[in-house]
Amino acid sequence: MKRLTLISFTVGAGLLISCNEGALDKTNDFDQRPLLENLGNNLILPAYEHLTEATEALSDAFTVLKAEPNATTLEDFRAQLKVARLAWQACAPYQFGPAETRSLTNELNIYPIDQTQINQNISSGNYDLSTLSNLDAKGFQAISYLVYGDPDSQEDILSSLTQGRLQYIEDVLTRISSTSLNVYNDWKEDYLSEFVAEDALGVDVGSSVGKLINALNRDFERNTRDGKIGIPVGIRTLGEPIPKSSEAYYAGYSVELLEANIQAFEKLYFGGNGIGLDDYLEAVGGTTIDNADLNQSIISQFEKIESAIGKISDPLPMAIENQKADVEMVFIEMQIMNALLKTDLSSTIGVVITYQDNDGD
Amino acid sequence: MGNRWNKIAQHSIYRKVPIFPLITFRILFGLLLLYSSIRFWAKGWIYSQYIEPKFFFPFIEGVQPLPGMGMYVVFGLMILASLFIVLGFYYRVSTISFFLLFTYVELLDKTNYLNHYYFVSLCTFLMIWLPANRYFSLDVWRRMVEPVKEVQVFFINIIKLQLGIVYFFAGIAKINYDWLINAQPLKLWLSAQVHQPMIGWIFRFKITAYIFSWFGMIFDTTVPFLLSFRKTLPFAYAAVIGFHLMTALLFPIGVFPWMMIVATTIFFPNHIHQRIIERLSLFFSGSPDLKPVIHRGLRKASVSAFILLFILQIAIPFRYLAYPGNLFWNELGYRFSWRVMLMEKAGHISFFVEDGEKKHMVANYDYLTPQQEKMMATQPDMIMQFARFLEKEFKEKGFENPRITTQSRVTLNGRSGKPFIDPNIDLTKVHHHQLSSIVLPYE
Repeated sequence: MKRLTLISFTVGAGLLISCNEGALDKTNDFDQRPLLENLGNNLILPAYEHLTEATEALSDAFTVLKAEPNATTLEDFRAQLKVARLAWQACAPYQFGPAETRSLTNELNIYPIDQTQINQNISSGNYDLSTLSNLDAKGFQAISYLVYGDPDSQEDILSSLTQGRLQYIEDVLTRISSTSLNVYNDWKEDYLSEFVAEDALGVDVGSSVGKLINALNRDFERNTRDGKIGIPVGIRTLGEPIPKSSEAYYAGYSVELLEANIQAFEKLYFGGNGIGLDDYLEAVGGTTIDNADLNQSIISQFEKIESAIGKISDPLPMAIENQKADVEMVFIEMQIMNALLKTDLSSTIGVVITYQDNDGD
Repeated sequence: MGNRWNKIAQHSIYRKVPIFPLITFRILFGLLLLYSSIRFWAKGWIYSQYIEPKFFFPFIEGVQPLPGMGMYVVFGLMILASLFIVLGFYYRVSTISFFLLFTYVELLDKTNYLNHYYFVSLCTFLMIWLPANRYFSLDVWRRMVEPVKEVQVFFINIIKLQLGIVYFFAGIAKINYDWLINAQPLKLWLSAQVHQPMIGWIFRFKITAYIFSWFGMIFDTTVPFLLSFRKTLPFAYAAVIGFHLMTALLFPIGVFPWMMIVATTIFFPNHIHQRIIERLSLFFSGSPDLKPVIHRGLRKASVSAFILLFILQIAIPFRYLAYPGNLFWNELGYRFSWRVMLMEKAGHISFFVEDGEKKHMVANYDYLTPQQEKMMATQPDMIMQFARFLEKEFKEKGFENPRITTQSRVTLNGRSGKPFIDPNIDLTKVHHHQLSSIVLPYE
């Protein structure tokens, strides 16, 4: 038996030496902590801070509109609403930790909304926005519906702003700004230090990189690929478009929101001006067999998505009607990206794509 | 010749040896079954694996989870049965119940297949036939069975053989190009461990992945033999502990390392087991001093049945040879073969349902949990099961003649992702025995 072990070791050692790669080469010289610190301090926290400021400004604009509803105050409010919705796009890839516990997406960005439910709520004046039945009767899209109509002229909107409607907008807004503020405070006070802590390093299900990659994949697949383009263009309905399920159906700037969202993913990937996932991939490229240019593939896929989006313009339902193939192209490019992120990126970094803890072997 | 065969049979089957190793095995393995059943419940997996999913990937069509609280009852009974096994209380009924319940649960969904679950099914099946309750058990204490001091060595040897098969096959599975020459997937997996306190830095070096790969292969193939000789046993058992503790530290593999550390104690010489049981007996006063009887032992037919079981186990890992293509790529004949922690694979697949001009892309997440989706994406038999389900689902939705095509990407051991399932194949036209035809070639 000893002889067998000896032989195996000799053979093994021989093979090692004959390997053309240097055995003392490093596979992974990447340090996760600067990555997490960069993302946490320079991307995530500022994104939530900006969202909080934007939602507060939105509440202020509403106070003015409520006091004196006229064309100017309405336009100011609409402009502020757009700022807040764009600010949300930068937070969307980071739906884990406090954002997940506080159901930030559910409070801010559920679409399409249920017009009937909203109208019923307003006319009865008796509603509880925390219930499941009101999940699609709140958020930015609900407010857009009330300040843009379906669509209605400015005069009609102004005359429609009854006490009940104004109260409803205010109630929805309160939930939006308080949840945004809470998530921001959670990040600032505790979660940022948890996010970069020693025991959050690594790639296990509970690790920060694990949560980040899983949240990124989940948001990109369900909300960006499907929610923003796939479902409106009819990918789930036999090619029959559903204009109303566009992210900004009432306000008419869905494509602009999509662009901002893709930019947020790019910012996350490149780490803004600091260390990002691109550096991570470059640093662990030596662990793969022939996947060293994965970073390049992802970069060029981002470019393809952006150029596909460049061919369409707002409003999205119009683009779907007039240039459906171009809109479908955006979906196809995002589908390719989704597969890249979910398979190659996750496998190279070593993150298990799962949202639940389980055994493997 | 015949004489020699008789000698071997006498030595390894019929020879009488003290019963103690079986008793400690019953207690230790039973405790582990108890722990892992409680752990499964405590982690909320009964819900997330058997209640929450809307669709399952059964090994045998028609085997389904029980509705309502049923699955909690199943696990409750398993906990009870494993406790009874530890105590040696209604031992036969308990082992049969545990084996059946556990195996039923494992047949429910391929998503949750783990080699160590297969090992538990096999081991608890063997335990049914062991006289492991014939000493230091409630069954003896309650005079339901008479105690015995000696049993045929065969009962101990089948456990050893079972463990030996697990290790040896896990070892020869590692003899492949990626594992030994590319040090994959360990290069990927270990590089993800550089953040471990104390030892993390060693995983930054390529050579570590090579050393681990080669050591793992040599360990697995030789340890059953090294455990079998008195001289090498201490060294081999130390290696068992070191190896499994390392895997427990590095990989999320649950109770498997502990299971192997506990089960391999069966290789210890009798006097150690005897001392353990005697120490334990001190805590239980008032045991009736029954006069041991001679254990009847095995009939020839039973011995043959066990030998057949082991021949099957040795043959099953080779069934992949019946399929064309690369085993790691198409996974045809991959399971039930002790291919443990052998490859890094990730995939993504989308399904398109077409009916004439109408085309629909399926949101996998509407039907599958992330874990199910992930496991399906790299395994053709699960892809086919889901396609069949979609065919039925969409016929109910009014599609007359649905065609189902896919778009897929799979990455294996750090290679660039490649298309996995032939995108031009209509899966509704594929029969189960044609599984290999839907997988695109690896190279």
